[in-house]
Amino acid sequence: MRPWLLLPAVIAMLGLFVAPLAFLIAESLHRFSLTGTASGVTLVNYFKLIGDAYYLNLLGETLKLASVASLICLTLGTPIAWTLRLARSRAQGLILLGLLAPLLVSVVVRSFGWVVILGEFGLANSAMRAIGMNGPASHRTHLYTEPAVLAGLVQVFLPFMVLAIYGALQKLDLQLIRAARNLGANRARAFLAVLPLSIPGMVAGVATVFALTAGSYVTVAVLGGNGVRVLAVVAYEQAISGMNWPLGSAIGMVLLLATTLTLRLFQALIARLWPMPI
Amino acid sequence: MSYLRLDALAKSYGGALALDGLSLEIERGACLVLLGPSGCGKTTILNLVAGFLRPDTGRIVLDGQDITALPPHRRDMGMVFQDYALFPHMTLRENVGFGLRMRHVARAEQLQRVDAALASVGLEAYAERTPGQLSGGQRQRVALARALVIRPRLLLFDEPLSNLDALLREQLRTEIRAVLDEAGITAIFVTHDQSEALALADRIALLRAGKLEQFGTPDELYNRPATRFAASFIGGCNLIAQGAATIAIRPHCMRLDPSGPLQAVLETIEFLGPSTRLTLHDAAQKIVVDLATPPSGLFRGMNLGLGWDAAHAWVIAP
Repeated sequence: MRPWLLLPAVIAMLGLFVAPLAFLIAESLHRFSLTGTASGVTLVNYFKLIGDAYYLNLLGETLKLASVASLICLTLGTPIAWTLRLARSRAQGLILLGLLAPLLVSVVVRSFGWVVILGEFGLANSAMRAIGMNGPASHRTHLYTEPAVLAGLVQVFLPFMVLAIYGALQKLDLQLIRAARNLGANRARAFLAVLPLSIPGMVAGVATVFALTAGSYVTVAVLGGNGVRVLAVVAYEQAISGMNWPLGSAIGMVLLLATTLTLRLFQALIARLWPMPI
Repeated sequence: MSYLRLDALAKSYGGALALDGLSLEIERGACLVLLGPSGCGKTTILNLVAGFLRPDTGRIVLDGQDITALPPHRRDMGMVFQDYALFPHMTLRENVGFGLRMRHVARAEQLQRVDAALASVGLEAYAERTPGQLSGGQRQRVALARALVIRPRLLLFDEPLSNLDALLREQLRTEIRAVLDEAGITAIFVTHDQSEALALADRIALLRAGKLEQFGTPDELYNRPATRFAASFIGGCNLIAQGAATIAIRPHCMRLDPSGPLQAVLETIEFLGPSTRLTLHDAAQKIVVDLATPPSGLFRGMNLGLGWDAAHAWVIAP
């Protein structure tokens, strides 16, 4: 028992997490003024957010986009994670490399990669024209649409989903599949029999991807433009372009609370549907 | 006619031969023990019989039906795994009922058979618990119940006792023997423990490097091992060079005899309970002697003359 060993972690936690959050909360309780921050504590920024259909719509859009991205990542990530678990060690190395290598490239670069593909004069359109699909769709940009943003988000965050599920699957005893097969289950039913054991990994993956996408800025800003707008982008605009730090902070707080609440509800729902033994 | 016949089974993994043209047969209701050191191919045989592996060549015939190409879920076999392989997210009742659900047995019959199976292993009071709440011995009993409840054509055991402590291992071994006798089920039991093999088997197949070293009753393997390997793997055996021949004698068939053909130096004395074990050396070899009633006055370094009953000694192939 050497509690002082915790000190570096406590200092890092306080300095890098608690303090910024405290500043954010404090800032969000100020009244906006162009001549410098006015004194006094007020909830006016929050009332503005709750009372304005524009912001409520944005919140809904943000949560919807994060949900859809999480769902797509879950759908794509589950088979990848299982393949990874069941693969031989050499194939495992290759899959992991393919999965993790993109993480070495900055999110900004990866998002602009999609611009090169989906833009008006991009790869997608040239390909369409090359195979004779010379319709109107091949002459306008595919950027600034929800599918474009989703494509970017899924590409950026899929590795987190795969790793979360794979983490849970590593503890899975593969003999269980054999036991199920031996007891009369065909491949599909044996898979379904052990699938619940990967639920904790799926929940962790969904929580990670949901939180990351709900707060993601770069990918949405680059691929969404004015077409797809979420709270993170608007918070940035308010704070940086509009100089309205209090409102930007309040947007950040609302996003944080909404994300946390949604995930709590989600986890409670899963725990009720598939209670896990200790 | 034999119930289960393995016919020239061969299997290799990436060039390494695990099983080299192995053939054997057993009768209905018999318990076959596959015995051998690790890497001898015994687990490969079990996996081939269960259908988890396909043989490179050879056939498996069960009750007159060629099952070599049958997928595992259509073989009607029950398997008990070394590390239990119980579904951790299911209760004992759900675990034991799994095979019946897969067979679409009527709900009422399922319940009745599951409860009977749990009762037969003394765990009916734990039906609603999950495997994580049980001890190792209890888990293996559940696994046994889960394998038995489907009334399998063949019961397969993959070193089921090796994760248990010594006392529990013997107790469960006796229970398994009783269950097999009572249900009249044909079984294959894989182990590397010779005492388990001798206690459980009607037939023992001793394997070595993917080949059958010796096949016979426990009595035959213990009292007339055919080879040096068989003699030393089962029960410990003195191999005494006598001219060109090698003679095998069990430690408990040796006796002290001042005018005996061997003279050796006593090195260690161990009290084992039913007997006392003397380890001796002569110029050529180590000799082990188990005496039920050792004489007094033995001490390390003394010279002892050794003899044996000719009736319990036999010459083995070099």
